[in-house]
Amino acid sequence: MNKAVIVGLDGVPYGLLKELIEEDIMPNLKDVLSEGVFTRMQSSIPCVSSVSWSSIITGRNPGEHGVYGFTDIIPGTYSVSYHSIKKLRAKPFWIMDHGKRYVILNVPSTFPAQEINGVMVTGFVSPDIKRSVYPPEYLGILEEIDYRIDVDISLIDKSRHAFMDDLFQSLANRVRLYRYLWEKVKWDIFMLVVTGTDRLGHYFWDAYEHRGNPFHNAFLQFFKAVDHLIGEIYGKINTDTQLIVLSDHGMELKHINVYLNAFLKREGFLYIDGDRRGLSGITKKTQAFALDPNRIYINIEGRYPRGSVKQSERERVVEDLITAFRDLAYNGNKVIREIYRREEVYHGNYLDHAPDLLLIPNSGFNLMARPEGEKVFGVDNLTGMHNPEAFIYTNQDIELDNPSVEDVLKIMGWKYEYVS
Amino acid sequence: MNTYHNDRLTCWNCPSAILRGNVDFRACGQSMRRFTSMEGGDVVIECERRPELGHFEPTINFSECPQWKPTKYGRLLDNMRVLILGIDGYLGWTLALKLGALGFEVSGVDNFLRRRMVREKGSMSVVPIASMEERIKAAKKYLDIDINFRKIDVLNRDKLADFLKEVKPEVIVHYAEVPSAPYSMVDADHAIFVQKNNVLGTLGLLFLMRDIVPEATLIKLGTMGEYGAPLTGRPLFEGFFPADAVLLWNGREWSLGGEMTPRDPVSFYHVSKVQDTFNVYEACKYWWLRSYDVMQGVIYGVHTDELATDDKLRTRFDVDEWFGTVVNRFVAQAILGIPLTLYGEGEQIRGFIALEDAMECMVRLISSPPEPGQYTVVNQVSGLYKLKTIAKTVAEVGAEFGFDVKIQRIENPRVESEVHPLEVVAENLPERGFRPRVSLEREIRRMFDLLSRKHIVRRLEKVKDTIIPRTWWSGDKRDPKVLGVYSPDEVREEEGGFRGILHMPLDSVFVYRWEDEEK
Repeated sequence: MNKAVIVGLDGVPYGLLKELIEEDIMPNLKDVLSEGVFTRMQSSIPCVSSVSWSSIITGRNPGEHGVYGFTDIIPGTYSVSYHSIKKLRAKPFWIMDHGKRYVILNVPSTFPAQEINGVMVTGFVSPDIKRSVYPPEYLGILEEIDYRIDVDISLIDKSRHAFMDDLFQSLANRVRLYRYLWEKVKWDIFMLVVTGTDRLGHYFWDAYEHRGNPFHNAFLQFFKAVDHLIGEIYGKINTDTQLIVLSDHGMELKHINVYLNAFLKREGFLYIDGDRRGLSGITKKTQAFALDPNRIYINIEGRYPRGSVKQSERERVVEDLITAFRDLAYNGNKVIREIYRREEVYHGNYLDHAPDLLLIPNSGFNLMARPEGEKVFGVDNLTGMHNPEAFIYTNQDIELDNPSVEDVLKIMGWKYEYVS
Repeated sequence: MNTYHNDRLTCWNCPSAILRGNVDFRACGQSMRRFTSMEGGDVVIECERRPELGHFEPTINFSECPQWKPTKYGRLLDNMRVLILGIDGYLGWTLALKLGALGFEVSGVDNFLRRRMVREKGSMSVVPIASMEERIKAAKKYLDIDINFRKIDVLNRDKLADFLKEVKPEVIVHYAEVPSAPYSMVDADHAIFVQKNNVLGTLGLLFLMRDIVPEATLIKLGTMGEYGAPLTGRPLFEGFFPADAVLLWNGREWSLGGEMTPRDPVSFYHVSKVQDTFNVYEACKYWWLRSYDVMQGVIYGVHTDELATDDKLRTRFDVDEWFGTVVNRFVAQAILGIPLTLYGEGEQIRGFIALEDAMECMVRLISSPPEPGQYTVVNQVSGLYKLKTIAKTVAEVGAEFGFDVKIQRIENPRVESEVHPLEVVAENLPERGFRPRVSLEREIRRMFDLLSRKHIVRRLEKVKDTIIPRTWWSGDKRDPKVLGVYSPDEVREEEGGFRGILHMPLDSVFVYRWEDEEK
């Protein structure tokens, strides 16, 4: 296989790129798209980065790679741990073929950095920068260019201007690192993910949709900068180098947050002892609880510390939950579009850890677990929410029929066997 | 399954939880900065003891964590690393043995200042104590406790830093202060020394904790004397006004809830403790350190099970005017035939606690670490007594041992109210499972039993002249005049003065009771 370059744009929907090309914000991308295929791509369920990128890099569905969200319950508790690559049950492509040399830069949910034939800098969530880099001697260059894994998300509450500046600065520093690695490291496959696009979408989607918004221009400028990056990469590669540009999920205007655990409390499925944090106060009366963003778990006896639903009662609880969620409405509008049982959407050896139910919302309803609080509906300072409409571009001349994130490796021509 | 008072605490309270930053999954974002509020996303931690859990939210209950093992004092962190500053002292040594017997990894620091100060007075510990080397050997021999000791002056920050890095304590018990009001009133040199040692020692420690062990709990010994005894009878809350306290002035009203209560220290030593209180409070605020500031009542007694295991394990016992506390001195005076010395009216009311109960308090506090940034004041008393009552009780118990004990009133060398109300709120320790178990009489009996042994009486005789107070708050150095001598029957505690009121809700929380040894 020839060399390959993968550029990921986190949280960028197909439709947005179409519009930005038409409006001449992304002329370089327009050039790139003049050959090859550019199409919608189905994100994972749930359509969050950790799950989706795990599918992209392994070619597997969550039932096989074992990642169902950013968090999972720690056995014997109701506390959640954050995803780490150690929990990934399928092999990412850079492990499948040791013969190739890789640069893997900023792919989400790859922390902690593992030994690789090449260089890896992990993406969010990476709580410790020292363990985000392989080989460790590259830590020095990260410090030199003030590389940041992510924008400082806490800035948004202090100043939207400062947050926007940080977005641009983080992108600039990431570009510096990619340029450095591009030149200094011998590679066959170079993968780079831009994270700022997702953050921008979450906090400034309203700015994009409303021309009068003071941040409208900054939103477009950010995509111009991304376009510049794509153009630069395009200019550097040979015609026989494979180029993939893709996203992990889409983004759309958020209407309102829906707090699933508050709903489960209201409907009598969930009881949390008030003075404890998170889900750790779940009592024995609980039948079900939610994890972000749309995962519903039955409080099965024996599986959880205060699990009380017997296996024989599970189906009844599932039915009760489906009925309750079908009726959930806001101002007369149904919140939930689809409800899946886990076996309907997942397959593989790790179904045991899968949520029992998955909820797919109607447009504008942003599902969140949030254990605290009693209010089912609410707003915050985020204006964009994920949707399943990702995209993929490849410079190869191939047919793509309704691809999903699990197909990316196949599209790139990887042939591999599933190893559990 | 038993229920323990600390079952419901979480990683949030646990020193093994290392803060790693915040994650905001609303936007799948993160911050690499370590901040500790829930705002701006969820706090992410790693567990030093359970690295296999990766990064997670700090909500695992102690009851769900295999590292927090059930004991008779509630759940205790397995092999918890404790550093005792002032381990050679009356409390430090006692606590070292107590925690060692409970399975703690005990480290300690001392510069033997207390031994030197008592020698300066011309006195000594009347209960013989050996060198630290010998004490450590005895602890190993009789109780199988390993103590990691280092001779360090807490003011020597470089040495202390090295030891903190070596030990990585999960809890630091700070007993390394000069604990004497009269000592601080001797002259300018003594006052300055006490304040420097106490205030600057603690201040330096706070900086070291910030940089080396920010997850550790600081249990800092303060004193009930920080509050003074307000003549209005205003209750002595635990450091802060309760939510419903109100300030009324000029027809207007303000909530006092959550504000620090006034302090009214009664010597330059007490002032050093008040200054510590502010320094610790600020450090918790600025750096998310966590601390219990223990307002200990007047301590007395000789007994814990560990101390009583062998004579070589005993803790020091001072009876001189500088370092002997009142009950301890009274028992010594009773044995020596010196009438028990009430200062002035003898109507002063104080909070008291026996050594054994005080040690249980420490274990209870250690079992319930505060949350990051939490600074909590604990009033550590098990009863309020008039000095008159203390004297009478010592005299009565002394009579059981065949001592004819007299009580005398002398001029008061201190500047203090001799007749005053006292109302004390002590809720934080009962909430953490503490129940007083040692009555005044019971501990005084144990004291007579030990101190009337021949070899100790011989030592008491040697230091006899150091007992009567000669250190005046005015600066005078002279014997106080005797105002009257009484037999115990003539002392009527119910006459005159006020009665102490103690709010100590003992039934507010369910506490798992092990077999009560008094039954």
